[in-house]
Amino acid sequence: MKPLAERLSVLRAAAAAKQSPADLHERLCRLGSARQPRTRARQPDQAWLAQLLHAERIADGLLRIERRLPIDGLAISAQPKLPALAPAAPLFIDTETTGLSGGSGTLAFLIGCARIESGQLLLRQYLLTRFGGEPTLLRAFAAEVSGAECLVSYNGKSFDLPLLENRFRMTGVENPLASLHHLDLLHWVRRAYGSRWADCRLERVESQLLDCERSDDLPGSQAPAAWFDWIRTGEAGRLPGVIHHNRRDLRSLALLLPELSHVYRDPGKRGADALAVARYHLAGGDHAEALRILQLSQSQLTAGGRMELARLLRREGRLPETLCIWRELAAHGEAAAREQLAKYYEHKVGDYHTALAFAQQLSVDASSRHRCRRLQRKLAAQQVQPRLIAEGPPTQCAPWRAPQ
Amino acid sequence: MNARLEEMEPLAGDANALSQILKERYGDRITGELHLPASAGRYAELPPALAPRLRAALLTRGVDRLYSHQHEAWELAQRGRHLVVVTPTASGKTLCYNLPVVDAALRQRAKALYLFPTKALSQDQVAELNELNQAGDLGIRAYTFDGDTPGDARKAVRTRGDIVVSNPDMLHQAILPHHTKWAQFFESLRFVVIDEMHAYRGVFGAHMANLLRRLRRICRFYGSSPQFILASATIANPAELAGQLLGEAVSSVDDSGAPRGEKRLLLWNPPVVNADLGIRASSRSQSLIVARLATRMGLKSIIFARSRLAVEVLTKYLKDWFDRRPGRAQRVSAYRGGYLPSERRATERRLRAGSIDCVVTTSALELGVDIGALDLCVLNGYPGTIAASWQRLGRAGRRDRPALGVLVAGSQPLDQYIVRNPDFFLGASPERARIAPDQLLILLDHIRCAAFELPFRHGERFSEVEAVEPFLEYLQSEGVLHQEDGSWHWMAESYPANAVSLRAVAEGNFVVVELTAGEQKIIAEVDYSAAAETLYPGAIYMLQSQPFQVERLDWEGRKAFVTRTRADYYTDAIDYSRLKILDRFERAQAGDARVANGEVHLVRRVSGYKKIRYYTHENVGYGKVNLPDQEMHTTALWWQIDPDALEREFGNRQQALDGFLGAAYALHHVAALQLMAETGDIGRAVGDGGDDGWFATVGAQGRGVVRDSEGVERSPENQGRFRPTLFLYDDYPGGIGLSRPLYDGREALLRGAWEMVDGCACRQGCPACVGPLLASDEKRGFSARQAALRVLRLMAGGGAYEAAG
Repeated sequence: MKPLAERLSVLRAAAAAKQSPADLHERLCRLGSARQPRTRARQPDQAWLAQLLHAERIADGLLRIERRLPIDGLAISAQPKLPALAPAAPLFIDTETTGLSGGSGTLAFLIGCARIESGQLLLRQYLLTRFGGEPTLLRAFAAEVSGAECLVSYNGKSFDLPLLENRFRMTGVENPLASLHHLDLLHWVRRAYGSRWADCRLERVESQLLDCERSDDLPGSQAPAAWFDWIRTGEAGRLPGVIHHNRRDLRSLALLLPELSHVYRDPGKRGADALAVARYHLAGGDHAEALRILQLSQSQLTAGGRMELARLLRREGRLPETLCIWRELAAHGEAAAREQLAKYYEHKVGDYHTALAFAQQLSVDASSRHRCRRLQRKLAAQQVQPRLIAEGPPTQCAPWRAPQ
Repeated sequence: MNARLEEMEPLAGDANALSQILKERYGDRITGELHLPASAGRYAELPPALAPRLRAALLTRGVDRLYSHQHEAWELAQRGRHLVVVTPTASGKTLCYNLPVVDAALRQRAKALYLFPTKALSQDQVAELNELNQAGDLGIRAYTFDGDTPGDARKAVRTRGDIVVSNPDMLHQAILPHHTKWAQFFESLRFVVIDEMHAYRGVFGAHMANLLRRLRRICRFYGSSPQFILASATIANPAELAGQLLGEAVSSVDDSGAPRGEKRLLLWNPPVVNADLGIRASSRSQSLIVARLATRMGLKSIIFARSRLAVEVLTKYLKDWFDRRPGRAQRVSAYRGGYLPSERRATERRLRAGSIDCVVTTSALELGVDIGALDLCVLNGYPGTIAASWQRLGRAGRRDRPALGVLVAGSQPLDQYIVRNPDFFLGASPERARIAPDQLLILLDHIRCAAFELPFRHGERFSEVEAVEPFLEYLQSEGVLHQEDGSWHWMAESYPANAVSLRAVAEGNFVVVELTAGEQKIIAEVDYSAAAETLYPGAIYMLQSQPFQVERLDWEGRKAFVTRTRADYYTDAIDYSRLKILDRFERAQAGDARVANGEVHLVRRVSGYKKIRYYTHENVGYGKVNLPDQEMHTTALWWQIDPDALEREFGNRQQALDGFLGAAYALHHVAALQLMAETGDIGRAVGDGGDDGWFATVGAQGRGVVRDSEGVERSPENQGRFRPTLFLYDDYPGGIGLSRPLYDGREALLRGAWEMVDGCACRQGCPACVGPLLASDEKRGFSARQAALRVLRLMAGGGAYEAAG
C-alpha cells in the first residue's frame, strides 16, 4: 500500500506537508457506508463448471453447451405458412444480460442460438465465464450468424440486438448484425394479442398458445445475480437454472414461429384480435385474406371489426351483406353504421326520408346538422310523400351481440 | 387613496432621468455611484480563410465585419488552442464559437457538441444556428438533444447531427453511458463548446470538471481529441477556471470590441429606523420605491431577490400596486426556479415582446436566457458575490439608451460592508470561481460512472487523478466492480448515472400538487434540498404571489399537497444543525483555544416555522414541524476554548453562549467575504461537537438556547460539560474545499471578524455585526457585541487586537 499522505495529496488540491492519518478507504467507507468486501469462496473453476453444465470449454472464458431437441410441433409444418413468417434459414437467438437498463456497462453473458436441422432443434449456448472471454464469445456468435439468413428473437429489436451491437463496438469485434434480416416475434404477438392479454411476455405466450407452463423456472430477473455470484465467488448454484431458462426461451421461440402462421391465418380460433390481424393483411395489400379472416371470426368481432368487414364486403360489391351488417349495428346504436346508412339512402337510393331518419339518430354536431338540413331541403324539393320502410333485418345475417 | 392615485400618474424620462430623481429625493441613501460612459466598437475584417459559403451567409445576415474579440477568438481557434471568451452580455459571444464550428463542419464535416447549463438556452442557440444556416443554405444540421427530444428523433440526432446542442445532465445520463450508439459522432467530434462557463462553480463545477474528464476519456476511445471553446460572464479567473474544468491550459479572450451604451450604478443603503437597535428599513421597501418610480416612467425593470420567498413577497407588493384592475394585462411577473417550464417560457416571451414592465426573479434569470434589453436593474440585497452582482446588473443595458443599476443593501454584514465601503465594491475585481474537482464524493461518483462507460485498465489515470486504484478497490468492495487481469469491469445491474445528480447531491425533486374539488394538478417543482424548508405541513407556498397552504407532505413519494388560501401571512422555517466531529486532519493551539479542521457529521432539522404578516412583518404565530432529519458528512473547521478559561472570562454560561453565537455570525460572513463565496456555501453552528452532545440555537427570544440531542431545551448551567465548539463548515455533502483555506487563513479571519464587530456603529449589537437583538436585551444592558468580542479574542489566543482605525 502506498503511504497515505501520498494518496491524499493527489485527492486534495491544496496538498500540504502534514496530512491527516485518515485512510482514504476509511473515509470513502464512511462517506458511502460501503458493504464489507465479500469473501471469495473459491477461485472460479472453469473446468469444473464445464463438467457441471455438460459443456465444452472452447476457449479461456467461454463454454459451449450443445443440445438437440426433438420437437413435435416442428414436424407438423406441412400447413401453408405466412411467407413473412417462414424465413428460409432462421436462427433463433436469446441472450441473458447483466442488467436491463442498457448502456455500455451491460453485457450479454449468455448467448443462446438455435436452428432447425432435420426436424430437430439444434441448440448452442455460449456462456461467458470471465470478462476476458467476451471477444471470443462475440466471434463465436458471429460464426453462428454467418450461416443464417434471418434472426428470430423475442423483443430482440429493442433489447438483445442493440445490446449486442454495443458489445461489438466495445470489444472492436466486427459486427455481423448490421445487414441481417431480423424477425422480432414480440411485434407479431403484440399486434394479435395486445388488446387481449394483460401482457405479451413469453411466459404468457407459452401458457396461452403453446400449452406449456414453466414451473421450476428461474425468473429471468435473477439471471444477472446468478452470473455475478459465479464471477465473484465461484459459486455456480443458480447458473444451471439460467441455462435452462434460456433453453426454454429458445424452444418457445422455435414453436411460436409456426404457431403464429396459424394465428395470422385464423385469429378467431386462437383467441387473437381478428381486426388487428386483418389490418395487417390489408396493410400488405391482401384484401381477400383480410375479408376471409373477418368473415371467419365474424361472431367474435367488435362493432369496429364488423364495420371493417362491411367496408370490405362493399368494396367487393356484396351490398346485401353490407347492408345487413350496417342495419344490425345501427339497431345497436352504432353511429358509424347510421351514418353509412344515411349516406347510402341519400346518394345511392335517393330515399331522403329514410336517410333523414338515420341522420337524425346521429349525435348533433356541425356535420350531422348540415346533413339533416340538406336532406330536409331535398325532401321539400322532391315533394313526395314519405314512404314506409317495411324491410326488417334480413334473416341470413348471423345474430350478433357486441362483445364485452 | 388619492395620494396613491396621484403616485400612479405616469412620468416621462429615461434611466438617466430616473437616476436624477432618485438622487434628488433620496440623496442621503445613496452611498456610492459609478458611471460608465458609452463607448464605440472596435472592428476587424472577416477572416480571409473563412469558408466562402459561411462568408456569404454572414453577409446575407448583414455581418460584414467582426468585433475585434470575435476576430481574436477565430485566430486562436485556427491555431488549435482551447479558448475561453469573456465579454459582456450582447457582445456577440456566440459568433466567437459558431464561426470555427460551422467553418469546420462545412470543410470537413467535423462535428461539434454544445453544452448549455439549461434546456432553455439550448433552444435559443439552435434557433440562432438555424437562422445562419438558412441565410447561407449551408446544410448544417443543428439539433437539440435533451429530455424533450422524442425517442424516434434521437437516432437522427446521433447519426446525422453536425452540431448537437445539449446540457451536462444529458451528457452525463444519456450520452456517455450509451456512447456506443454515438460512436460515429464521437469519431468525428472536433469541437466542444461550453457556454455560460461561470455557472460551473462550486459543486456543479466540480461535477462538470469530472464530466469533462469522462467525455475526454470516451473521445480517446474513439480516437478523437476535440478542441474546447468556452464562453463566460465576467469572473476574475476565466482562464484558470476553464483550465480546471479541462485539466489543460486555456487561452482567454477578454477584450470586448463591442460598443456599449451609457451605464450608471447606485449603491443604496436603507435609512435607519431604530438607531438604538441599529435597525434599518428593509431593502424590500427601498427596492419597491425604485421599481415603482421606474414603472411609472414607462421603463422596463428587473428586480433580483435573494430567495424564492423574497421574489413572491416583492411580486405581491408590486402587483398590489400595478395589477389591481381585473381584466387588464398584468404588468408585473415573477420568474424563478420551481415554476413549470411552460410558464417560464411564456414569461420569457412576454419579456422579449416588452409586454411586462417589471419582472421579479432570483438567479434563474442571471444566465443568458434571452429576455431583451431592460432599462433598470435593482438588486434587492447584495447577491453575495461581486461577479454575480455584475452578471445581474448586466441585464440592464441597451446600445442606444442609458441604463441604471441600483444595489439596495440588506441588513446583513456583507451588504452593509459593501454600501459603507463603496470603493471596495466599485473597484474590486470579481471573484475567482473555485472548484474542487477532486472532492472525494464527487470524484468517486464520476469514477463509478466512468467505470460503467469503459472498464478501467491497470495504471490508467482519470485525467489529473493518478491514484484511481483506491477508488476502484472501494467500488469493488461495494460490489459494483470486478477486477480481472488488470481491468476493472462493471458488474452490477444498476445504471450509475441515474443515481448521480450534477446539480445537487440529494435525489428526487418534490412536486407541488394543488387539490381543488377532488382534482389534482401539479403546479410547481421544488428541489430536494429546499423541500424541508418550504413544503412542511402548514407552510404557505407562494406561486406568482398567490398563496397556497401545504396540507400534507408525502416525503417518500416526494409530493406536497396544497390548497389555495387567502392567508394574510407567509411562513418562514426555523431550522438548526447539530454537528459531531468525526476526524481531525490538522489541529493547532493558540493560548487557551484549540482550532482544528477535519470531517464532521451534520444533522439538520426543520423544527418549526414562524407566521409573518404581510406589510407589518410582525410575527403572528408558530407551528411545529416533524420531518425526517437530513444528514451529511462534510468538512469543517472549529474552535474550542478551554473550559476553565471560559469560566474565568464569563460570569455565566448563558453570556458565553451568546458570545459564541455572535462570534459565529460574524465569522460566517467574514469567511464568505474572504473566500469570495456566497454565505450559503458555508454553514455555522455552535455546539458540543461530541456524541449526543448539546447544540445551541438562537431561540424565539433572540437569545442563545441550549438543546439536547433530542432538541429539548436545557439550561446551559445544568450541562455537565460545557465546552462550546464553534463550527464553520462546507454546506455540501462531502465538502467542497472551503474549510481548508479558512483554516489556513484563520488569523486573518478572526481579525476580520473582530474588526467588523468592534467597528460597528451600533451599541449592543445589530444585524450588521453579531446578528439581530431584541429590545429586551437592550434594556437589560447586556452587550452581545462585547461577549462576541471576548470570545473572538479568546479564540485568537488571547492577544489584544487594536481598535480599528
